[in-house]
Amino acid sequence: MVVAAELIRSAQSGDRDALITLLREIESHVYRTAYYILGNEQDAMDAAQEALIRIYTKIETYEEKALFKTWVQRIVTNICIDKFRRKKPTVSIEEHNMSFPNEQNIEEEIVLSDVAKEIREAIDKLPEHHRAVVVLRYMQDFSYKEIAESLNLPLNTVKSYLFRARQQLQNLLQEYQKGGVRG
Amino acid sequence: MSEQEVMEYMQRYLDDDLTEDEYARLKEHLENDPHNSMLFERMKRLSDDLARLPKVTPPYSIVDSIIPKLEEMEPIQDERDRSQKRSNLFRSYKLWSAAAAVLLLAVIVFQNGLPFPATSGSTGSSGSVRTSGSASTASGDATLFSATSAEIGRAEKGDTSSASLKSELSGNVPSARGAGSEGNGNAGTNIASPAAPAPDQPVSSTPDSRRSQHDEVPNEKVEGLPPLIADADGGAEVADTGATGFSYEEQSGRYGFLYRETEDGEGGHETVVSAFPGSNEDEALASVSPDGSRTAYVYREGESVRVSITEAAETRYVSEPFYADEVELNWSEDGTTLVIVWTDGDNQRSVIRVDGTTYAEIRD
Repeated sequence: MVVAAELIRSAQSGDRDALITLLREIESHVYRTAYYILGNEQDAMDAAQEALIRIYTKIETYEEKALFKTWVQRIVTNICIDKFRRKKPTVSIEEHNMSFPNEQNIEEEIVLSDVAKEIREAIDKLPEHHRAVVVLRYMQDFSYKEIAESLNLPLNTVKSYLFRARQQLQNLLQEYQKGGVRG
Repeated sequence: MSEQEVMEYMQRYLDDDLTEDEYARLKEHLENDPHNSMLFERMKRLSDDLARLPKVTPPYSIVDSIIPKLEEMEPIQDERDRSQKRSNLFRSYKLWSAAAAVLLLAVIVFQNGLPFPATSGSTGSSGSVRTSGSASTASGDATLFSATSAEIGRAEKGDTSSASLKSELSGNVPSARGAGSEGNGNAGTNIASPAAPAPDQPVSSTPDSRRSQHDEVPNEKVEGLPPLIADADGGAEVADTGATGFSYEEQSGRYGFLYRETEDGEGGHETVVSAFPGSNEDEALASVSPDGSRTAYVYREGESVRVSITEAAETRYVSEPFYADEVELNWSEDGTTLVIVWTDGDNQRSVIRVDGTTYAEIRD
């Protein structure tokens, strides 16, 4: 996601058309993050809408010292983590594994390949911060530093979350292959 | 190569983070390590699969769907927003809350060799925390703590999804200085836990997924903060003269300053006390130690909060991010011990214990 600095400046100076154009440029990126963190289309649409509205109202608070894309991703990941927490306030890992597939996912699952489906289900089982790190690394192609900036986490924490997340995914997928954990 | 090194190298390889030399070392090692060699192949496949996940797009234009709503609102003016924050935040000073004081405590001891007065032998997966004796009810005991706390409310109007951060003084915490030896020095707090380990045992993480995120040792320097331009001694003036107010100014969504506002003949001025990590999505709360040498700071991002402390112009995280609805920060009178009390989404009270190398959460 590379948004022209000029467009951002126009949007910040009150050019509403520029601001709308800017939102159009980032909406897919915002949605993609929300989709893989929240795991279904409806929640992702809600979160993406909320994020875009927030960006619209807060555009003047963005300063060029931070990358625009990390500023945007910070907003959407915060919203997703809020939603995630509200949806599953107390669920433990054990309970989570026992949950039934969400009805809302049925349509999407037809579209996704088997491998992608397994991976997405495995991502759904990660703790939220691990999930956010994985999503920013692979869906936004962010570096450690960009992830750290987006999530306001120290670089070493980002690495440790990412490494642990991949290890967890690896274990979960192995269990799938053994015919394991589906609840 | 040690097992840990092999794991790290394999992981970093997946992120193109290995130098050529490091990759050569890894490759050489894996030639004689069939188990990890297989694991490496699986990890590479996983990473490739992750990179190939469908680049999903929204089923219809989100922007089109929100344009009517956007037309009803104006982008927020930055300056207006900021000045509101400056005047409203860090505004609350409460002296005592008996209810809050009943349940305690997280403890951070800053000086080597100090015991753990409040949480000796206090961990355990089902441990409860309660105060005992007169200290739990007598408001006079609040003098044990004379911390100054401050509050920042939710910055965004109309957002009712998050509980506000509240701060208040909660006394009854025995100071590190007055605690005596480990195990019997609980001047005001008794930790009831049938499974409590000996005080000198390391705090272990528990199977609870939400607790497991506290298993890493904090005390990590916060990078990227600006140097303090005043009060390089950590703001010792604050406690000496009495702060009349605090404000928080966000800079580029990356960090904020804590100011001390004082009245003078000209109408008042501000002195920078501390710099903290933070963003314009945050709620935050700060507490200056009674001796003025340290400032504890907690800020919110989403549902998580994280605690840092500024001392001698350097700010360090003293916790990992953790979930909390409400947080209180309280200093011992001598400024060596920080107590963090918070409630989580289940409205339960939880406790952190920190001794500089380890800390843990206890839930009642």
